[in-house]
Amino acid sequence: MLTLNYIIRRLATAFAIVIGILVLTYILIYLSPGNPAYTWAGRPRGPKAEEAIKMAENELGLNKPLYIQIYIHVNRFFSGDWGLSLRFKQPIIVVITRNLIASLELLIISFSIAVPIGIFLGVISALYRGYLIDKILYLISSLFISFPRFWIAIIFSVLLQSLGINIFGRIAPDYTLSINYVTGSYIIDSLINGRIDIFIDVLIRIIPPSLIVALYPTALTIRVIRFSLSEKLHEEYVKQAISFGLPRNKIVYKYALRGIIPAVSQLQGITFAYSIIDAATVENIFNREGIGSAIVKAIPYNDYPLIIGLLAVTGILFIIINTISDIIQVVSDPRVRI
Amino acid sequence: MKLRYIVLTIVLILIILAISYAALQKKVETTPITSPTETPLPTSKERIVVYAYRDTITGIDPSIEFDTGIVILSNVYEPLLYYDPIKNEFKPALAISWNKVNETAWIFNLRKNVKFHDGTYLTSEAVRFSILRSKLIYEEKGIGPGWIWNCLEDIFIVNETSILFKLKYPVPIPLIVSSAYGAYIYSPNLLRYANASDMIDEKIRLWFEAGNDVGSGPYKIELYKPESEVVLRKFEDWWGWDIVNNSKAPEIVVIKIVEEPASQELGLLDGSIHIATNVAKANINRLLNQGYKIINQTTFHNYILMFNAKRWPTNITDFRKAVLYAVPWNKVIEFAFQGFAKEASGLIPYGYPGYVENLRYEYNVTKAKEILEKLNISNTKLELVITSGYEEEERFASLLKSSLNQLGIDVEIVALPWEQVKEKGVAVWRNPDDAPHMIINDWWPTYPTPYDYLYILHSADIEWNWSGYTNPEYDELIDTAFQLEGIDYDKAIEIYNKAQKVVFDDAIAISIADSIQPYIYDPDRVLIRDEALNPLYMFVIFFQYVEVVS
Repeated sequence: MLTLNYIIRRLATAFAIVIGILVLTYILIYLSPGNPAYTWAGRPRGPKAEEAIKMAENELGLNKPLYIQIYIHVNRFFSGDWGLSLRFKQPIIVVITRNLIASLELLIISFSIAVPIGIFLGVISALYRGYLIDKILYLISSLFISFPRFWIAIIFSVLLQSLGINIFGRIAPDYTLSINYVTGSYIIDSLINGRIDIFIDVLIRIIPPSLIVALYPTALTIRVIRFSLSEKLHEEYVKQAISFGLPRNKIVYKYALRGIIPAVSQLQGITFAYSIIDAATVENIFNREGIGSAIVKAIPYNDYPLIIGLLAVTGILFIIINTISDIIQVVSDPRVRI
Repeated sequence: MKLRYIVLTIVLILIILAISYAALQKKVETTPITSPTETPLPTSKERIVVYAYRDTITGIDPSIEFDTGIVILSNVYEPLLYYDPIKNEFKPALAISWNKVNETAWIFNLRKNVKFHDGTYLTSEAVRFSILRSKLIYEEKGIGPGWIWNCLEDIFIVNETSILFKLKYPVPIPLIVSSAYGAYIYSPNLLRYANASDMIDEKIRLWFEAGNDVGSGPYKIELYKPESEVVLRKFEDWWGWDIVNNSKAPEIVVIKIVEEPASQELGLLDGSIHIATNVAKANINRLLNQGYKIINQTTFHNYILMFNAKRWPTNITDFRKAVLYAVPWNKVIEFAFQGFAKEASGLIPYGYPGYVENLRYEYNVTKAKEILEKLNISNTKLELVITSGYEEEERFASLLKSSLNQLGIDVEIVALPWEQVKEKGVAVWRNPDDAPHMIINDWWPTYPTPYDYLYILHSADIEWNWSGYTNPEYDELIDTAFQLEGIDYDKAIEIYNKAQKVVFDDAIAISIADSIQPYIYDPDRVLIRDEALNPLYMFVIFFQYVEVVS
């Protein structure tokens, strides 16, 4: 049951996490070497270069005490004024929005692949525990969990390239100006524009990186379902259902599986955050936009408004996903109160 | 049961996608393939070129941008003149003729019927507005390349197509108006578009950075995502299409930000990229064997090794000379730059005004040892700061380290992001012992004056003089030469040469090499004419001179 207490608690947690991200990131950037004013001033030259850097420090408030800088930054963040990217000179909100949409597109497709496949293979593994198929699935899931995804991504991209399959970027250059961008999601926008050819191109380009990102959640889902379902299959209500002569698939999918949905949904919430990190490397290898690749590009230039904005949005995303997991838990199991 | 349907649906979707993709592949295979690679994309009626650039775009305000934005600005905006430093000749752009009225006054006559991308026409007022904005922003905020207009007293409108530059002191103004930065002309209507109150209103900058433009160049900005890609579309009303006579010029130019060399190579191989700028140099020969072509462009981008003149032992001139004698200069080009550089001399790159031959230190370990013995310096440790991610700097640093090891000098190589390198360099003025003994600074010019390269050792330039070098004689020489440029150019160059000799004798800073920029391209897809590249414009391809051949 979804209670008011839960909503208040979750909002408070979200607020605390965002504040924590803002303050901690700001302190870390403050302590790290390099002066963000150099980036903001755009590498000034000539007799006024020194003055330009001082003015930039003044504009950014870098000459104020740390606690005042943090206060100003947190205050501006919550009032919706996230400022401009020091490197790209564009509003943070604009940069984050387009990269967030690109990342979400990738992550949603990844989880759309990972969850059903993970559940399906997890069930098979549980049902045939100890058999060859279970051992193979166990080995594969171990490999998927332990192998570095960036390495698999490189190998995969080289393999696809050698087959002549074009997977570079989010959309074919020929199509870049062929659609009107409404949502920023190329999948949705191509459909809105009624361009099936572009829709297919975009899907073909998103599936390989999605498969890489999907490896970890798929493997973890297989493992969790294998373990949890095996336990469920030994519970009394399942044994009773078997004794009533109910079909095996019905017992597994309608009764036993329902019992482990809360655990699976919690797992997806946690792995989603981890997958954002995976997505960062995969985005770079496949030359896709996204939160991860934007962070990678912002860090070397001390673009702290962008770094903080991106991390805060990632934090908020993480909270939203976990809240959805909680809600799924409540819906699937009425005994649960959150 | 519901789960079963979901799984079934997903499987069906995947099958449909696979079939659709196979159909697309088949369609492409039926068309004659002339490229060394196959492209699975459906052919488009529009001619498209994809250019992979190695760095994110730092801005597109034509009066402020002073970094990577040049790649876009040079195709979207135009200056009054272009300058070809190799041929030492000017080429008319927005101005068709110019003449010197007296030492401090020049008249420029503008090209007629030049349209800006907003449909309005080029006027004298537009020229005045654009240049004064660059100058004013620099004077007010110190940002941008507007310092090139310090010489300017005012610009007077003679008539709709003629303007008069009134100078504070004589300068070679045709060189300044052909600057790679800060000399672009645009429509003053942007005041209205940006809802700005005056020419230095911050709203104008934000308007530009949102991806808008009011240039007159052959391409206009269609999509601007500085961290990932920029798309330009051909401007059909550009005045120069008849002159260029290129019916195969690209209609769409996609500038993709691809930082990883491996990704650029992959993109090139699968046909997603047509021109690459940052492929691992070791792989270039393999690509050439596969049918790709290369253009090696001489650039004015060089790498300057600077010594800390305020910290022991690099504060000793003879010690610095010993270090330079210990560098195996004959290996620098082949090992550090893998052949993609030219042997440097002094501080100024080859082909650039003020270049002097034979300002080089020979490789002579014996001489280096003798100097060190005389100085009684041994078993010392030096810190060398380089920019991380610059393959050339990393290789040179390792070469220097192994060479100096022979002399009992240990070199600690510190690779840092550029912003931190800069901070380390500037530290020489605040606390010299915090600054490294040696640091590498890569440099490229704003407009072709030797002063641009030599000013980084001027005692007044505490932002870029990372040596902490203070030599009044040197300062006076380059200041005098700069003032003479507009009166007696030959004499000015002579004094600049003398200043370089002073630096050379002091061994305070030296160019490691003049880099050569390789552009790798698919010849079955594009043809790059000679005019498409100009060493004054780093990484710029003038796409009106590119032909899309398939």
